[in-house]
Amino acid sequence: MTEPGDNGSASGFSRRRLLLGGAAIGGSAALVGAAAGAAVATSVNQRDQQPGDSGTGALGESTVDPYGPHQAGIATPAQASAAIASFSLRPGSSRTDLVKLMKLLSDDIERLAAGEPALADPVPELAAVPANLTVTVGFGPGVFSLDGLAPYRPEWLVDLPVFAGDEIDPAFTGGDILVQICSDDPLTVGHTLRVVSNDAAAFTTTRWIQQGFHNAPGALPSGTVGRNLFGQVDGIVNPTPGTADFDEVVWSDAPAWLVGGTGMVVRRVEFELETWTQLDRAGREEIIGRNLSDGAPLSGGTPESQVDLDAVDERGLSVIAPTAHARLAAPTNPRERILRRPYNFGTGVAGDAGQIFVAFAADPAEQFVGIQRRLAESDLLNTWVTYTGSAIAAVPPGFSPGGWIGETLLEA
Amino acid sequence: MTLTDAWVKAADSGMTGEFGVLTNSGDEEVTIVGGSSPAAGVVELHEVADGQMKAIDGGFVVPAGGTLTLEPGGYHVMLMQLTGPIAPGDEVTTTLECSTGGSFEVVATAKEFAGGNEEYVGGGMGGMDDMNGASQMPSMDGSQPAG
Ligand code: HEM
Ligand SMILES: [Cu+2]
Repeated sequence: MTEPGDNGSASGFSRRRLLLGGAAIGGSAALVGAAAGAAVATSVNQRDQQPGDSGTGALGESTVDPYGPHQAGIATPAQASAAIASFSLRPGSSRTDLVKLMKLLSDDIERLAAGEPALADPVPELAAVPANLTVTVGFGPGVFSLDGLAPYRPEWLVDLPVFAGDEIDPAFTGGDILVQICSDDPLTVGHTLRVVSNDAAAFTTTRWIQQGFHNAPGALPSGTVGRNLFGQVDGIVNPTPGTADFDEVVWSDAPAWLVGGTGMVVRRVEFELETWTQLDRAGREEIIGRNLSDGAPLSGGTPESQVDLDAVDERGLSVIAPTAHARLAAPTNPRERILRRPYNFGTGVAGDAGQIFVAFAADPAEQFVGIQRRLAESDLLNTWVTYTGSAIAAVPPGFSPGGWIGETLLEA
Repeated sequence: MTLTDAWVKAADSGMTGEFGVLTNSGDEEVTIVGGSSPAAGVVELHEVADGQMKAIDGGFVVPAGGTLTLEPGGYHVMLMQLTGPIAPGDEVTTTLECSTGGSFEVVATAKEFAGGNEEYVGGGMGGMDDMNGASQMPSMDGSQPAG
């Protein structure tokens, strides 16, 4: 078998090595071919080992623990594929209905995250490849109009304001229940979305669904920050899971039911790829304040470096432009920080490309809204992006075996 | 005896199936011979053959230390003459009786499910006048079992 990271220049070469050297792990197709002693031509639908992938299916079997003080899919390194689904509770829904729905979804999540079919799974076979599946569930403002829940609404949980320049499309906005499904396998995301939608159907109508993607797993050396469809390295400045800093930025400590939960903000952003590409490279870099080659700040340093907002050039001009995204997005007070976990969307051709911006913050009103206001007012990037959707949710804390998501609120 | 991963297909009325994995942790074979439920006037044990379901002869035989899977298209507990709608997320209690004389209680979660629409042939038990749950189990619509 090829060693991980061995990007054999021609796949034909690696393939030959596979057949001659290590056919035993190559799957039945390879074995049959080798036994026949023929030049192997397997069907295009049979997935053969690729250079650099272990070919063992290990990624598919890989799981993320759904249990714990926090829901999975927040501190989890962003998987390759995602869908965010928004549901509206049916008119006349009661708190009991929501309890039933949350118990059903929690049961689905436990099973699917372990690679087991959901109860009544319409296609049990598709559950077998969790590939780091996580399902994260949040409550939109509407949940708190259910009987008796109003006093429990976090103050910040109100519909996001319409920001300057927003062209909000109701078809991508709002929702009572937000579900973020992420996996390294897009087929698994699809199946999970189907199970979730099936169970949600009795209680809700589907409001919107947005799919998203990153690089294929293993396509980049581990630890690499991926790029968006503009080509920018996107996701450098972010709190690091497992640090006290991360905990402070992300996990809510009030109200009581939300301790260990968080706030989730979704912004759907369309990219104008055509006009973006007409800009010269220097212009494109100035708009962010970081270079395109590796994302290092224009003020110098490595990609990991902070942008130096005070840096000036020989002529005394700011190196990071007053309208640069990184300047405007930088915190103006220590509290104004967020966890960004966006996904790319669209076919990638002009007119059909963008980013589903997902952010988590303990208190989005304090931590997110100010940043977004500054960006809405002055971000030069706005010339090439249009915000078309908006949603906000309180993401309850995690659950444990026998428990369910939302218990701390709904049993209160 | 337990029925793990128990679920019931949600249905507005008429009849519906209950599924799960019968697990016999004892050291003797057990046969499930019948059942009852506050949710149903009649409970039968069914099997599916040639796309049609019918009451099974004898019952569900679960080997010592073994399991028997009840699933759509296979063995299932049939809840008939439903006493009310079974909606997704509802918990349905059923008591299953063993050949040994004992019985055990099962709590099954109701789930939305599109399959499990095998036609019911005979059995002769009642409840068939109550088939307007047909939107849930469409292929039963045409069947006119002798009641
Ligand atoms: C419109 C789509 C957006 C694109 C294409 C985009 C792209 C980028 C890029 C390339 C960077 C620099 C590299 C990095 O630190 O990851 C960055 C930084 C950042 N962005 Fe965005 N972004 C978008 C929207 C937003 C929104 C809506 C917010 C929040 C309201 C936001 C907040 C931030 C923050 C906080 C930083 C780090 C700033 C710092 O250096 O301290 N971005 N973004
Ligand atoms: Cu039956």
